[in-house]
Amino acid sequence: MKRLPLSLIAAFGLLAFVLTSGVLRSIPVVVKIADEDSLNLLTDPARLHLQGVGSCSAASCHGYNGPKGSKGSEYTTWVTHDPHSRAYTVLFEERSRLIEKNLHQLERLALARPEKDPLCLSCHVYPAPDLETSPRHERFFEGDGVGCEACHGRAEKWLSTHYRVPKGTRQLPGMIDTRDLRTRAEVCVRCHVGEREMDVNHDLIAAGHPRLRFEYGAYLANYHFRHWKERDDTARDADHEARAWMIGQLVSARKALELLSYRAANARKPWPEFAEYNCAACHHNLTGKDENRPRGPGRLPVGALPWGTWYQPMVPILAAQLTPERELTVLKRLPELMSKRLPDRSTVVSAAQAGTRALEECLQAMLRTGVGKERLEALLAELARSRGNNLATWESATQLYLGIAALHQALSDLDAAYGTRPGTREAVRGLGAELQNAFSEKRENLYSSPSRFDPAAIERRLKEIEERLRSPRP
Amino acid sequence: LNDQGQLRGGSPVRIRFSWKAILIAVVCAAVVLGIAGARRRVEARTAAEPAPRLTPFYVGAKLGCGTNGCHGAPPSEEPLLCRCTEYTIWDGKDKHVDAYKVLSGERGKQMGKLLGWDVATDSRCLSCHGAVVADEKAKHKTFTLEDGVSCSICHGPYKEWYTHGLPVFVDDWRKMTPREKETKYGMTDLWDPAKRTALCASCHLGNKEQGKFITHEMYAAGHPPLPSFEVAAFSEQMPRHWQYRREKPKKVQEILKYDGIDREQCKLIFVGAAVTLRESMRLLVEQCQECIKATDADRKSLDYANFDCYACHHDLKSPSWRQRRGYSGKPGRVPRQPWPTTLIPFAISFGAGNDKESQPLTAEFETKVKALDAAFAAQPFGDPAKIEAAARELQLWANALAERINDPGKICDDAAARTFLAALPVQLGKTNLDYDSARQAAWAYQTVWREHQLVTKAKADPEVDEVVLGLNKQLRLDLPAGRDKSIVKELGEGLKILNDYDPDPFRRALERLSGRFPMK
Repeated sequence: MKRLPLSLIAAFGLLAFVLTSGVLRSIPVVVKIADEDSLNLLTDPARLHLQGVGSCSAASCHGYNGPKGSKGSEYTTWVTHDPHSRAYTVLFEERSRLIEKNLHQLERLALARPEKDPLCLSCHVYPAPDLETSPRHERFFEGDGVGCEACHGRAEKWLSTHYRVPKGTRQLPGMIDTRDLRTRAEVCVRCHVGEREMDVNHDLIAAGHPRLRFEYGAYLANYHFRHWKERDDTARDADHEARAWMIGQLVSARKALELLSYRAANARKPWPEFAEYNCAACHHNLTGKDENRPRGPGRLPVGALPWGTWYQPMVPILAAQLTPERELTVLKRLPELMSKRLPDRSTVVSAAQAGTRALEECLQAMLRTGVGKERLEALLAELARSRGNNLATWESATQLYLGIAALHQALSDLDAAYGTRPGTREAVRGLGAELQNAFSEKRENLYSSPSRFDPAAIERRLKEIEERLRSPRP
Repeated sequence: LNDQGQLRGGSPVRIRFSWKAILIAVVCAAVVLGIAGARRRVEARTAAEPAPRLTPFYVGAKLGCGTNGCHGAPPSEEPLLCRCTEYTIWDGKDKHVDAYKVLSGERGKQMGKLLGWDVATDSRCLSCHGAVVADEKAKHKTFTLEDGVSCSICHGPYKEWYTHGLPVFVDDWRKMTPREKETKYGMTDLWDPAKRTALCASCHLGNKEQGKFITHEMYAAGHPPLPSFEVAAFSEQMPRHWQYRREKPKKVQEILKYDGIDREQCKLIFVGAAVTLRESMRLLVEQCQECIKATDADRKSLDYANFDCYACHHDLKSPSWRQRRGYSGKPGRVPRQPWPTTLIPFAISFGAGNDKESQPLTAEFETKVKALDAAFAAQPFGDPAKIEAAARELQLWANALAERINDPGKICDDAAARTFLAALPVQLGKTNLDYDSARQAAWAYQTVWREHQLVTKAKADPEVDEVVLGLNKQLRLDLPAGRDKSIVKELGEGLKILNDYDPDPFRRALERLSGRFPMK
């Protein structure tokens, strides 16, 4: 047999590699978790059939008519109270149609069909950009909105077995273990931060979609329609509030970097992507109250756009406490890179990817060693001491507040005496109120600008908190 | 384009390389470019200075022009050439006097600190707040920057007309046409609507060639936002040290052959609109060229100041009239400044005279604007190469329109004014204009309406007066023009009105105006 020249074989090999890697890349990989063995996976959805909410809602399963959040009434709680159950029907509202009309520049409102748009469905029904072609049981009904499987995983392989396995079993094929705080965070951030084409970018926001501003700890604490018991969370981790905050910060910041990297790497995505920046940096009126005008972090030139003011500001403080040996230098480069009028896409991709890895390491370190009470106290003190850039924008100041509130709550849960020091709770609430006051109108919606944001007032509140924290415990 | 609105060395620059014969092409290109470059340099000089033999000469306002008997106070005998109070009016009331002084004010200092510039000497500031005179010999001993935007700067900084043949000056001078005064002696012909617009717009809009451009960095450091520019309204609201032809004494009107028909302000609006569009496109073209050449990530994209400021700078609220209105391109992309095109359809109608002729012009205009909008929406902050191409097209087109309607033979008469007053509310009443564009429309309507009343001595129409007054309030049409008004102090209130603007009341006002004209 005539032998093929080596170069030809090499060329074939290379071609095959390029092709297959391309194919592999085109398969929607759902969530990449660095240390897959140690966690329950968010299973690749493409291979399993969706079963639909109807497969969970039997009265003897999760559809009992018990009190909100009680065992056996998970479906009932969800369908009655949880806005996720109305995620699809909201697409029929006029507001949704207006968004769709603006986004696709349609002639008339009547032509807008958001309920058919894969972009909308990928978060308003099930986190998959290819939902249309996704295998599904006939019970699966889009009208159910963000149903059980969107968070708990495709049920094909565990629907008929999950109630028979011994209590505490965490690994079932395709089931996502949402009891684990980190896994749960990974589920939420797919839609609430964004992932690949599941992207609430500035085009969509300008069309009318609310901007995403996710903070895991706060969302969990305010999730009053939960279909599980809050005490199960606190029983698992006495420092639940702090853990949720730390995990949420690191997972959200990492997810935001993954999204940034995807946005930067794809030439057909808008660039620069304005949703990466502080909204109020541009969207503020020019009435001349210069002292209240949000400024960019650090030494950015005047008029440059401040990047990452929502997901990133707490990361350096957190990393300094969790992995003091590790400097997150890579994250320090991004604000400057992104402040350019036309940031270089490939430089941003590599910086964002390096940042993603660094944050994952930081998270792993935290999960491995845990965070003791002393370090939580140190972290809280650090947050209260924080000034400078973190007071520059309403977004970063709000992150600071949410961190302080979560840590203070966790420390009070761990040690009742901690939280009963006179005036401490009020001081923390005062900081929150100050941030609420930044909105000029009554905050009837999520869209108004914090045009009365006053960094000086925030600083006064922080000083007050600092003082209270230094006072002796009763 | 030079100040006369003619193409300057433009066409020879368009060279297409043939890559099949690279070497020849390169050599040819080098030669052609060299020639073109040289030609451009020569012509650039002729454009900046009306005639090469003129001698740059900057004089002080008071001692140079404002003495008694000159422009400070009238001489004993009846002056015919001017009222001789020009300096006194300017010095007493006109804010241009303070243009340099404000640099050392509180805001000037703040800007200097934030930008790290010495604002009192930096040419980026002085180019508009005074004058950048490199040659010391060009400065008369009376000249001082403290005079701000003074006589020489607008009327032409040339020795020839300043010292021309005194004391027989007056008699000769009166016999000359403005054109002669400009080309031979260097006195800028501000009676020419196109020239006046280009001159004012060089600061009030920007002119890259003259080093006049307010960057986003300068705004962010505290420069008050430039309002949209409409030359007739800006001229009208100035403490005027000149008179319209209709206001001049009979004798002077006779000399000027004023027939009482020509609507001077109305024509200024039409020509001004075309010239302002041309100048704004020129600014875009020049900056896009810089972006295309740039290697630095900060320069590859247009300076933010080239975009519609208020597309971004508004408080977010819901429901939002912008979302209700929809977008001309992709939502979320930063659009061009919308106002320079608002009045163009009316300038077209005036230029064409009838529907048959105006239709193809309107179609051309709309196609070019569409291309420009698409170039802005192609990516966030626009695609500089596409914007350059589209803006250049529109620049040339606007120039042709300006030339057509600026023809002295093109009379803007009663019928033209009435047509405008009838058409504006109907045409713009169907649209959702932003604040700046609405202001263009309202300024123009107000000016033409007032001129119409003054010239025809028509009976007052309380309905129109009421609507115009309402528009004045809604859009704050009064500019802080005099020395007694502070731009900085009034800024907050003006910008609040802008921030609270909603197109619905404006549209309702236009609805009330439609059908009021043509009046018999």
